[in-house]
Amino acid sequence: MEIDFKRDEEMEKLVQDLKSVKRSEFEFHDANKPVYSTGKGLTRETVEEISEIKKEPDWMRRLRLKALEIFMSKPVPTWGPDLSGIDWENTSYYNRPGESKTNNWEEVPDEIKETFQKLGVPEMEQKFLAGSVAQYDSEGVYHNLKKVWEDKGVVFMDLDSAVQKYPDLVKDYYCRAVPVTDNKFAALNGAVWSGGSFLYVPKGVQIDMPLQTYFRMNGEATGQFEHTIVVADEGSKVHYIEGCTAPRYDKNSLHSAIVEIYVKRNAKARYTSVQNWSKSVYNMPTKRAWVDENAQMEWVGGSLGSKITMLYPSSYLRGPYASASNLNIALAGAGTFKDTGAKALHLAPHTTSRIVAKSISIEDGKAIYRGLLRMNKGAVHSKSKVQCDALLINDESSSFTYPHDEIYEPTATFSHEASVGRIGTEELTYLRSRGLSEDEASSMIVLGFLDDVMKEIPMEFAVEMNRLIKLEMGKLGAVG
Amino acid sequence: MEQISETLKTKFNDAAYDYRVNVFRSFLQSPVRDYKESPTTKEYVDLTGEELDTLLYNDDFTSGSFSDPDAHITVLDSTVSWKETAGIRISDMKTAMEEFPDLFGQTIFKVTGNDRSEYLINATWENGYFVNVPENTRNVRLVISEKSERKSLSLKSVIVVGDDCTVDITEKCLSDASEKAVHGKTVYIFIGKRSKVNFNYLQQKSREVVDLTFIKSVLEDYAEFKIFHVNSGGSKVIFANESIMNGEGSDFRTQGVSFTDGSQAMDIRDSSFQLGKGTYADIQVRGAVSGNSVTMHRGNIDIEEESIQSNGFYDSKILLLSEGGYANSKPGLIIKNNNTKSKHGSAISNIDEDQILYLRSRGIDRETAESMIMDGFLSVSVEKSGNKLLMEKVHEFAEAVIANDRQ
Repeated sequence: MEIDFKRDEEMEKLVQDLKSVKRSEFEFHDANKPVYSTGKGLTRETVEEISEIKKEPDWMRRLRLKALEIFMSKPVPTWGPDLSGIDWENTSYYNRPGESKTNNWEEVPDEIKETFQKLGVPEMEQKFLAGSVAQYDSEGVYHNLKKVWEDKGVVFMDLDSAVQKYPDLVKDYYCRAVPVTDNKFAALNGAVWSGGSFLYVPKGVQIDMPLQTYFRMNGEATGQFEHTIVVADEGSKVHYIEGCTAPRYDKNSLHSAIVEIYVKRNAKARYTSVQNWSKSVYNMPTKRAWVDENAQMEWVGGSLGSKITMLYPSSYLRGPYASASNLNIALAGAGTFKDTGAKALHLAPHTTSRIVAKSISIEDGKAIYRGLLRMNKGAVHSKSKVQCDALLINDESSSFTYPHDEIYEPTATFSHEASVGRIGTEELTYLRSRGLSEDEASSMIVLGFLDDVMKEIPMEFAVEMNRLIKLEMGKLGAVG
Repeated sequence: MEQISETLKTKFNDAAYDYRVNVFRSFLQSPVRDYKESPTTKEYVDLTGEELDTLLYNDDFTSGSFSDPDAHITVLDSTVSWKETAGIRISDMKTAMEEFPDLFGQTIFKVTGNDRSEYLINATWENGYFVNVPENTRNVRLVISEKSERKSLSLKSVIVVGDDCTVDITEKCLSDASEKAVHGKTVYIFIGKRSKVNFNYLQQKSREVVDLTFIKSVLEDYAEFKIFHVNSGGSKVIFANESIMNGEGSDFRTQGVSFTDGSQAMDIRDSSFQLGKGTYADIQVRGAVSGNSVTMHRGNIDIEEESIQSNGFYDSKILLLSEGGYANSKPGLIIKNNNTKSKHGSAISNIDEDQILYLRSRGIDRETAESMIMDGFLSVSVEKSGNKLLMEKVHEFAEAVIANDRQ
């Protein structure tokens, strides 16, 4: 395998630059007050109000109200982590940060602009991205797409704008892969969704730079309910990235997003998300991809922050020779609960899937892998491999693995492996005998453990993740 | 089900009454899990209310009897015989409860189970066998044969092995029942310090029987428990094998084989619950699925906070041979301290064409090649037991599965 020396050097340089930065730099909050809020609590009136503010078509308003009914009728799931800390009554479901949306960075309100500048969003757009959307609380405040892609028919904007501009196109895909009946949190999103991105890549268009949306939650006890739709039409190629941060408060916030990805025949889509919510956020997104004939879907994820995360990105392999891969890192720091995993449903012949999940539990952090692998009858000669590994750093750390594998097709091949362990004394001794300090050796082992996934993550995010992992572990004196 | 308190009072008002009421309460409190609630907590073999009622209201109830106290006993339809008798106490459970009230109160009735069917059996058992092996007893061989044609059978059996013993137990569970029947039993094995127990289990009941079996071992310091289980009969089968590893350095090994055919549904569960320091659990289960049958292999390696320096391994392999069958696996790791090593793996596939090609290139026809591969795949599990009965049965079942598959 060819080694990318330049990439390593650049990465090291960035790591050095960032070494002095503390995690709290993401956890700042600014004084920007929303210009409009529906207030606390959720009723039929709240939903009507959101729909009216957005001047939505009637079909969307009716869908929202239907979703609200479903949300009210479904119980809070009890099979996973304890969700009793979600204060449904005192959460604010819609907060509008500014009066208008813009595709000119200079027109973004100063305080919000400053926030995104601190997070490095405009710099990233200039250097690495084909386009970007920035969402602040409930609304997208900025979206831009480089002209070369706009000319080729690519659509990239926040979903609210897309509903107004391309209602028919949105209607074709909205809530098809993830119906609002799917689960309680998807129903909640269906009722109060606001913001998120709409990305449509026309037939044969191959975008060679990633597109990014950055989600920022600023308010206390608020909810962010964005809905993102990515459509990669036949023979196209796209890489879409999401980053998420929020300040830390005493009161809990709720993030309940929907991400729907449609990968058409011969298309290729990659979805990368690095979630670094603060430790007061309940993170409950539903993410799903429909993968058609000979198409490829790649999920790459890093779940670093949040108080509780329940996230199982799913791939429905609907056409012959469709493939999906899912690479995920979960970091369960002190007092946090990461219930993450992946689902792959093989519905057509010759489909393949690969799931690699790595988790690290620190102090009393709990990491769970929960996954579903299903090979339906008729998915002849389909193949799947699932691998999940966990590393427990402290005595009180814990890890749980609950895979569920259902094979209905005799010609299919499936295997699953999981392991749980800690940093081995033998490995430490080996590295120390070669002159590394204990901290350096531990750090090297942890990052080596994550390497399979880390190398698939775009460099800027990999650097951020490396740094955050080091910071989390540095608190223990374990890693330098 | 509504008249249960009355039934318990009238039919089961014995020395175990408080225990029965306690576990029945647990039964009522354990919900029937729905797949929609969570894919990971699904009840795999669905038992109907009628089947549970059959287990509960057994009109044929008779107490246990001894036919030959020196050589073997018959408890309901179970026969227990043994080769060496040095100080070993063998009786039915009703007698044993009177004879060892302290042992039952302080140890045996502390273990209640953790599955709703297991609770129900523990509440409604009619009788069972009781074996007490005193400390320092070596080379004990017990052969237990259960053959019942009854519509309803609910048994609870207990084996208590003292410190420093070696015991080999073979239990055959057979039935030719020609009408629908529900058979349930729990076998709890308490193993003292440094003792070694081998348990060979064969279940070959008719396709009319719903069979629910819960084997639980409780291990003290440095105790070793090896179980070899072969399940092939029954219409719906739940077979659960769990070891509660209280003792330091305790060791639990499982080799299991399951065969399903026709419309059978089988849920094979093997789990370790590791509490002692430096414990070791190794579970290996293999299965063959043909016809329209379904097989679930599941098991948890559960290493608790205090169980440091422990290891736990679970491995399941299933051969899916037919168009109509399906196989599921749900291995779980529950690891609560970091000073451990644990792994699980599972694989489901058909017979590897490369292996068939290899054998065919050496002049072996396809059918024989398939038989050889199947036999090799499944026999390896029970060969380590050295138990002739199990080895013969596995060969026999493997041949039958291939023969049925060809038809």
